[in-house]
Amino acid sequence: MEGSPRRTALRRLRGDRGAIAGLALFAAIVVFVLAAPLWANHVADTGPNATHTTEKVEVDGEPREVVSVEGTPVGPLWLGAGGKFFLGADGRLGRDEMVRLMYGGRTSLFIALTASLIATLSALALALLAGYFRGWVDAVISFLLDVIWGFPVLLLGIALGTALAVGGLDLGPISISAGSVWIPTLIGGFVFASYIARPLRGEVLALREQEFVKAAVAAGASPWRVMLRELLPNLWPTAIVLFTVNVANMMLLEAGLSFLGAGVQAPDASWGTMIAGGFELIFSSPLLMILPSTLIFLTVLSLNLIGDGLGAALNPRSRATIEAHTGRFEPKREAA
Amino acid sequence: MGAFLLKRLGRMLGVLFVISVIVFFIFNVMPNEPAAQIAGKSATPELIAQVEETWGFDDPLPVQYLTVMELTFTGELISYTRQLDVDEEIWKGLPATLSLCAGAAVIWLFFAVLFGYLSAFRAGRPTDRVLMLVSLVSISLPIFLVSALALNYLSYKLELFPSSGYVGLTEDPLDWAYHLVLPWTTMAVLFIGLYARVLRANLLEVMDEDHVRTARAKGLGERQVRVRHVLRNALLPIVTLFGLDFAALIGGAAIITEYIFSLGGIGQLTANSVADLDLPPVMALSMLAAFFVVVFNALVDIAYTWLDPRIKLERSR
Amino acid sequence: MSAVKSAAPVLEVDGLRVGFANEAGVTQAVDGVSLELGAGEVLAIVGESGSGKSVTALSIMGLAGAGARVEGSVRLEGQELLGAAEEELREVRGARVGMVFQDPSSSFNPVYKVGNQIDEAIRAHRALSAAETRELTLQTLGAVGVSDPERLAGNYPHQLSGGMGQRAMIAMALALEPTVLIADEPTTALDVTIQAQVLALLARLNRERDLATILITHDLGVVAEVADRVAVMRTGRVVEEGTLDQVFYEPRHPHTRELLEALARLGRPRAGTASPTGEEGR
Repeated sequence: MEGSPRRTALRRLRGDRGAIAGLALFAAIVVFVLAAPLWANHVADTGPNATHTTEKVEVDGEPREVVSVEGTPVGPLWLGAGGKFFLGADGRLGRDEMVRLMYGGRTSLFIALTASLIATLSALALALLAGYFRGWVDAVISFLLDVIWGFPVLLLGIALGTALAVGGLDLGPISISAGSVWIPTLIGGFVFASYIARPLRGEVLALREQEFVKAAVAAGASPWRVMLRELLPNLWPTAIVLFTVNVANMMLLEAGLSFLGAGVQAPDASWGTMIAGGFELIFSSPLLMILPSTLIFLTVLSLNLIGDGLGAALNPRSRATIEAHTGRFEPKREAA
Repeated sequence: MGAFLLKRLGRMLGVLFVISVIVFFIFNVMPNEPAAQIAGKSATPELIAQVEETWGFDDPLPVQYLTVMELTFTGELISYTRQLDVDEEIWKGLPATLSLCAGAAVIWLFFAVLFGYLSAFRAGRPTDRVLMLVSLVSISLPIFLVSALALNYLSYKLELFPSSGYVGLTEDPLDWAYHLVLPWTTMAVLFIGLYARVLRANLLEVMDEDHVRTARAKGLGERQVRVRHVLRNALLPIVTLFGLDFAALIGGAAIITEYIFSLGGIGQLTANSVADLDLPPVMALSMLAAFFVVVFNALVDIAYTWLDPRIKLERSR
Repeated sequence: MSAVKSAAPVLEVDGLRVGFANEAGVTQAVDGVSLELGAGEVLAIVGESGSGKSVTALSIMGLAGAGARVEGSVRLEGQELLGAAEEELREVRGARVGMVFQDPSSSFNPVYKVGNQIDEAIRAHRALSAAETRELTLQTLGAVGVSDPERLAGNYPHQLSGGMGQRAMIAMALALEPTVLIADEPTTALDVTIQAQVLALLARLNRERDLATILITHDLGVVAEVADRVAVMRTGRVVEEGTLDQVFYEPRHPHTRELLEALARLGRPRAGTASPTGEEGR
């Protein structure tokens, strides 16, 4: 027999040009946002929230207003001012767009990755419980998942976001202040858990019927043992694919929420909030909306490429890939 | 069939009830000071007290729930921040939203079927690769980027299309369509890729099935085999998917699209309410959208049994 | 079993080779097969799975698939089929050569009614009115032993029992009165009692309509019921060919003998045990 399934998968992945391109692109974006302090301190000489409304910058020897009298921010200066306002200023407040993109990216990525992690882990737990115990446990969990799943994602996020925007969250042991980045993060984790849990539950149900699981149960293994030792290791491939695609979906959700005002709150910045700011100046300074949108696009594209590659590598004809991409899937026709 | 219908409807009602409880929880229980938030940003202490009274904040939770539900469903919800009648605003906004969603759906379904069909039947060849790349880009495009580019270049710079506003269908059909072209295309672009990919996968699966071989063995022309025996079968799951997506549009892409293009539908109502942190409309709209999704899905589910004979009979046993 | 054989064979297969390309190279599913089918004759092609018998049959109709590399010659009443234009092949399929497949529940399209699918087969070749088409469909269904053709025509494929489904499939293949019928494992998916019925049907149709038939199967018991001549295939080649009596009683090739022995063993009670059900290996 050839190598282990993992090795075959890695081999297939290495040969997948799209997936490699995706990884490279995503890595580039991560480097971009991690370099924020470096750029801010050594090149642009300013922070993401520092305003420069009334200042002037020296471009090729000539002084230029950062924000014109009419309120128009300066466009990309590239290296004309030594790297300051590389991509221009972001509006009437005259903040450095490049610096904000980098710092905003940190927020967006953090939220997307963390929320997806929360969603995936919760989903794994729910899927294992529902799939292993079946019966009424499954009935209750499935029902709740169906309910959450029925809520349009953005709207649920909006509902939670607006409700929590002013007063924050104070639920038992959990206490989060209103402006915290954790609010959109937890919202995202909650909203997407059901999208990941449903395909995982399906897999658990299928795995449960396999010989090695039945053998373990017959041998008297405790439920925890079966779930953690037998079922969970077989769920990783699907979970990873779902996680990857979910990060992409989460980025889009956060952008939408922040754009509308129900996500990241001022003074924090994310690509979503920057898009909102850019929208106000769409006709005079279109770049302000286009730049953060493009960065989101590139991030989502890279994640989709990776997700596609992972899905194909782990299981050439995987339904999970389709399910992952739609965020929903052809509902399994269960006999009545 | 009757027993199945009843069961399905029963489940649906259960889901609707739980949704209403969740929405109630989100807006009336979870926040730190719900009454103050509902009363709005510029609320006076008197107004807050009035809200507490009307919404039953001093009552036990179950009673409070019933009060709020009554307010919502008898159309008595008011937006305190903007002095509006919530249900009136919703009625006013519906035509624009439906026009937007239905039109976009027609466009994306058409192109998705076209792309999916071409891709699947030329699988592995250049056409397929190009179309799948286009699809990948399409599903990665955030609505912001598409609308930003469309607004700026097609509307502002080239002045090909208006950048905002909605004209009623009955007022002026041409103008109605003219104002909707950009929003339609912006929304359609997002879904074409998704549906093309799903259809392509379905087609590839169906192509290998026995009945396709039989169709060829009967002497049917290739086009006929492809459309009547491959496409027809492959479209079935798309129907369900579409049902889910269409309903979800209202609570999703439509909100942002209407906001960006100032279409004045219920999506924009939601967006504006969020911007003002005006909770009553958001609450009503959340429930409305979720209800619509659930009911629409149930209808699609029932319709599906009519489309796929195997299910119909399974259910009547 | 037909009494008179016409001089010229209805179907001639000459040096047929069919290969499929995959990652490992090219697999020759059929490696130089030559056969003849006389008018009104029943030729059984027997072999185990992987012997290439199904691919041979499909290649005759040009249905081996886009990835198949086909060489050689297949002549239907003198007309060369291999390499013929798609238009020509279309006319042959269904109208001059009918084909019946193994599993009627998957070989019919699940979303259309059975009657409509048979109508469709007719309309592909004849310009009849809707009423005339349906009339022919019902007639043919009756001819294959369906007692209530209208009811069956109004059913969906998965509503039919195995036997009914196979009759419907046979009706669909015969509606246009083709010269040749190819049946690929027509009884394999059926219960034993139904198998006998379907075989009897095929034998009857062969007699009544002088219908040259190719019967593909792995089951020698089936062959014994209906075949005039037998060809035994193994790994893409014909290893033995002759009349039914010749092959059964004077087998020359070791593989043929293996198959015959296996058949005999199934029927013989094991030493010390009660007589077996004969269900082994099904």
